[in-house]
Amino acid sequence: MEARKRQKAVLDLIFGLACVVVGCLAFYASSNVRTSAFERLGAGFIPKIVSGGMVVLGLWLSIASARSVDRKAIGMISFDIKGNLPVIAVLLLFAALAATLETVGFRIGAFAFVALSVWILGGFGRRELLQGIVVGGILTLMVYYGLKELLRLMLP
Amino acid sequence: MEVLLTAIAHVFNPVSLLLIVGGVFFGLLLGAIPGLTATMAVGLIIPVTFGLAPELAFPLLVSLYVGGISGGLVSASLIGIPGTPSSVTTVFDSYSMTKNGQPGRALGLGSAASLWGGLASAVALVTLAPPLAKFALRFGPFEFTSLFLLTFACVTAVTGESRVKGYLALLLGLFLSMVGMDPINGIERFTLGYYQLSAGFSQLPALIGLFTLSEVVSGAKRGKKPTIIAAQRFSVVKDFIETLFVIPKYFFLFLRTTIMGVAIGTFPGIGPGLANVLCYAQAKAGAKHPELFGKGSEEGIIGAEAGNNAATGGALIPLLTLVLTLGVPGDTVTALILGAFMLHGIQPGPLLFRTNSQFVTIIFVAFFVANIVMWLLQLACSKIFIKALSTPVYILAPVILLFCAVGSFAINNRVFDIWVFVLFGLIGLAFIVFRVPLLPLLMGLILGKNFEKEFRTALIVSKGSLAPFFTRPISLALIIISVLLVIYLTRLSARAQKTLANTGK
Amino acid sequence: MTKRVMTITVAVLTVLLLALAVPGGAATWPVKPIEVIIPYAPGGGSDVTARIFARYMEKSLGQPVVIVNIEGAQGKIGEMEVLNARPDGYKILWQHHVLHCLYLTGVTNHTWKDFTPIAVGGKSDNVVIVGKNSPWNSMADVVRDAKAKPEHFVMEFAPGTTNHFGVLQMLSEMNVTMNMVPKSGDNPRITSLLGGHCDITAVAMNSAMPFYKSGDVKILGVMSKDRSKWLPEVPTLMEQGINAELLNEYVLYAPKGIPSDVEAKLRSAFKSAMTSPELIKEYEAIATVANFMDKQETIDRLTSIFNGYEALAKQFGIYRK
Repeated sequence: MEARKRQKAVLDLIFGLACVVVGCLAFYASSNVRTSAFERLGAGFIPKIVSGGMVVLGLWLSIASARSVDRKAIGMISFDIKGNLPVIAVLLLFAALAATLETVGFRIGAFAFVALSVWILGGFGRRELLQGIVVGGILTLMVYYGLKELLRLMLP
Repeated sequence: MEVLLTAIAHVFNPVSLLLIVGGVFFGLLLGAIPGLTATMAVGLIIPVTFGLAPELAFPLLVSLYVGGISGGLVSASLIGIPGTPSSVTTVFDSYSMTKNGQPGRALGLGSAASLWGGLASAVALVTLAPPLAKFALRFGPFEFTSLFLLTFACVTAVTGESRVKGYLALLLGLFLSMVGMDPINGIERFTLGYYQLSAGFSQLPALIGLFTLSEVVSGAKRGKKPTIIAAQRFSVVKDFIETLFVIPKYFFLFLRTTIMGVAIGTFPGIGPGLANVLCYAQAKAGAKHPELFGKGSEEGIIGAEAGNNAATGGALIPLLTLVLTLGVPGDTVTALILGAFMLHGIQPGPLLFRTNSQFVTIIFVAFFVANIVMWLLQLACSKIFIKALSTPVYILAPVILLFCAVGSFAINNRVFDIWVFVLFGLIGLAFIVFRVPLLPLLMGLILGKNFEKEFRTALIVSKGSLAPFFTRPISLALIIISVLLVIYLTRLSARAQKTLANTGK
Repeated sequence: MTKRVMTITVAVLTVLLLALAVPGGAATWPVKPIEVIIPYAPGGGSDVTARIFARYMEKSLGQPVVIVNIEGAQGKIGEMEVLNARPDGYKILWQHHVLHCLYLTGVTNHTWKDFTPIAVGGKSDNVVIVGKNSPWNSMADVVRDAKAKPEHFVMEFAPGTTNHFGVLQMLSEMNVTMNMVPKSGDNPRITSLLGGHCDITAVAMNSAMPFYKSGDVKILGVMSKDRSKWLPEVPTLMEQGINAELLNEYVLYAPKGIPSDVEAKLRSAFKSAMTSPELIKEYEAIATVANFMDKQETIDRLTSIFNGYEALAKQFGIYRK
C-alpha cells in the first residue's frame, strides 16, 4: 500500500507539471486569438479561463504530491521497454497504415497491417504468420467490398 | 396508439427484427470479451449504419447498446473479469457463485435482473420522455449554461482517487474542444496551421481513440489467455427459467435499484458504469444479509445488474429529449449515438417528438424488444460467448485496430481523422498510466463547445449581465442542485468506494 | 489442417491481387467513380439535392457518382478538399453561396474564382418566422414595434452564413435594430422560437414547413423575388416594401484547371440531369427548384452575388481583415 502511494505521488507530480506546461502554452495561444467587433467576450475569453485553471490546479497537484516524492519513490517508477516492444511496433505499424493509406490504398495497407501485427504480437511463429495472413486477407476483403458494394462507402 | 401500433409493426418486420437480434448478439459478444465495451460495439457499427434508413439504423444501435451493457455479465460471472466498466461490481457475487459451482445460476440471475431492469427503464423512457421534452423547450442559453455546470459537477464528483486530477482532466477536455472555429464568431483558434482542424477534433474518432486504443494496448500487453471454467457442466435452460422468477422475491430491492438506475442514467455523464457501483452499494446497505455480499449473494447480483440496465434506458432519455441541451449524453455510448443522430440528419431534441414522433416510438419499442432478445440470447448462446472469450488477444487486437481505422475514416471520409484517433488514443493511454479519470476529459471534449456557445450567447442576450443566471428559476434551481449534488455524490461515492474496498478480494 | 489453411491463403492472395489490377489504358474520361463532395452532414438540403442529381448524372456518365460528406467549419473543410484536389474532374463540390460568406468574413482565403464553376443548379426559399403567440402578423407590425424599442427584440441568426447576410440586409432595409443573437442551425432557432427565447428569425422554408402546418409558427414573409410555389398565400418581403433577398442556391464546382473537355462533359451531364422531368419532379417534392444555368449565366450570377455580399460585409463591418 505504501509503495503504491509513493508511486502515485511521482505520477501525480509528472502529470501536474505536464498540465502546468500545457496550460501555459494554451494560455499564451489564447491571448493571441483575434477578437471581433460584435461581441464583448471574444473567442479567447473562455480558453483563457480554462488554461488559467489548468495552470493553477496543475501547480496545486504538483506541490501537493511533491512532498511525498523522494529518491526511493522515483526509483520505483520504471518502464518495461522490452516487454512493450511488440505493442509499440504495432502502434508504429498502425501509424504507417494511416500515413500511407492514400498512396498505397486500403487493400494492401490493411492486409499488411493485420498480417504483420498478428505475427508480431503472436511471437513471430510460423503458425501465427499464417493465421495473420488468413485473418488479414479475409477481413480486408470483407471490409472493403462490404462497405463499397453494400453502403457505397469508398475507401482509398 | 396508432403511432405505437405502426412502430410495433415496424420493429417486428423481419429485417428490423433480424438487425435487433444481430445487434444484441454482437453487443453481447463484444461486451463479453474483456476490454471490449458497448461503446466500442456502437462505435464500430455506426459507419455501417450510413446505408440504412434511420428506422433500421437506430433500433440496431439501441440493441447493440443493450447487448453490450449486458454482455459484461458473461465474463464477469465466468472468469471474474468485468467485460465492461458497467459490470465491475457484478464480479464480486457472480464469480463467487460460479466458483461455488453454480455458473448457470449466476448467469441466469444476472440476465434476469438485466431483463427486468431494462424493461422497467423502457417503461420509464416511454412515460418520462414526452413530458421532459415539453419541459426542455423552456431551456434557453442561461438554463443550458447552468445545466452544463451541473454536468461538469456530476462528472468530477464521482472521479475516484483524486478530485484535482478530475478537474484537470475536465479542463484539458474543455480546452481540446475549443480547437477550431469559435462557435460565435467563426474565428479560428489553436489550429497550428492545419485547415483540417478548423472544425476542431472530430468527436467520434476522438472518443473511439480514448477508450479503445488504451484497452487494446493493455490487452495486448497482458497477452495471456483468460482461463475458463467452461469445463464444468451446467444446465443453462433450467437455471435461466428458474432465476427468471427469483426476482419477484426481491421485489423491493429490485424496485429501489431500478429507480436509482434510471435516475442515475438520466443525469448527464454518469451512465451504467457508476449505476452498477452505486446500486450495488445501495443494495448492500439495505440487504437482509449484507454479510453474504461478495460471497455469491443473489441480492448483490440483482442490485448490480438491474442497476446498470435500468441506467441504459435512463441515459437514453436526455439523448432523445435533448432536455439536457443539444445533446448532453448520459454516458459514452449515448454520446456516440448522439453523433449517429447527426450523421443521419436527425436533430435530437424537443422537436424530435413533433417532427419524428413515429421514429421515436420505434426506438422505444426497439429498446423494449432488445431487452427481451437480450435475455433469450443469453440463454441460447452463453456457451458460444464462452468460446469467444478464448480468442487469442494477438489476433483480436490488430482486428480491432483495423476496425477503428476504418470507422474513424468513414465517419467523415478523411484520413486526418485516423490521426485524431491515434492522438486521442495516446492521450487515453497516458491518462491510464497516470491514473487520471477519462470521463471528465470526455465530457469536457464533447460539451465544451456547446458550453462556451451557450454561455457567450447568454451574455449577448443579457447584454453582459450575469444576473439572469440567478433570477431565472430553472437556472437557479440547476445551480443549487449542482452544489448539493457535488456534496451528496462526493459522500456517496466515498461510501461506494469503501464498499468496494471491503468486499473486493 | 495446415494444408487447408495454405489453400485458403493462396486463394485469398489471388483474389487480393486480382482485385488490385486496375483497368489500364487511357480510356475516355470518366474511367472511375466521380466523388461529389458535400461539405455538410448527410440529411441536409445540400446532401439530399446532391443525392438526387447524382443518380441522374450516373446514367449519362456511365460511372458511379458517389456522394462524399466532409463536414466541418461551416463547409470550409469540404471546400478545401476540392480546392486542393487533383484537377482531373473526379472530385467536385456541391456548395451554396455560403462559399462567398466564408471568404468575406475571413474564414477561408479562396473565392469562387479559385474553382471552375460548372453550373448553378437548384434553389430553395427562406422565410421569416415568429412564434404562434407573437403579436406580429406582417412585416409592418415588426417595423412598427422595433422602431419603438430599438435593440429590444431578440433576432437569432446563423453567424457567418448567407442567413447572416440576408438578415442584416433585411434589418437595414427596415431601418431598425434588434438584439442580435447568434445561433447556428435552423432547428435550434425554431426550438428557441417555440420556447420564447427569441422573437423573430429566418430559416429555410423546408425547416419551417412542419411547424407552419402544425400552427406553431407564423410565416411573415418569403425572402425571394417571387412568391413561393409552396406558400402561395404568403407575401414576399419585397411586396411588403423590404428590399431584401435570401436564397439557398446551389452551385457545382470543379477544381481550377481541369481539362476543358472534362469540364464540358461534366456540364452537359449535369445539364441533362437537371433538365430531366423526373428530376424536376423529385426536386419539387422537397420544395426545391431545379434551375440549370449555362456557363456565362453562372459566371454572371456568381459575380453579382459576390459583389452584393461584399458590399453588405463592408457596410456592416464584418468584412475580412
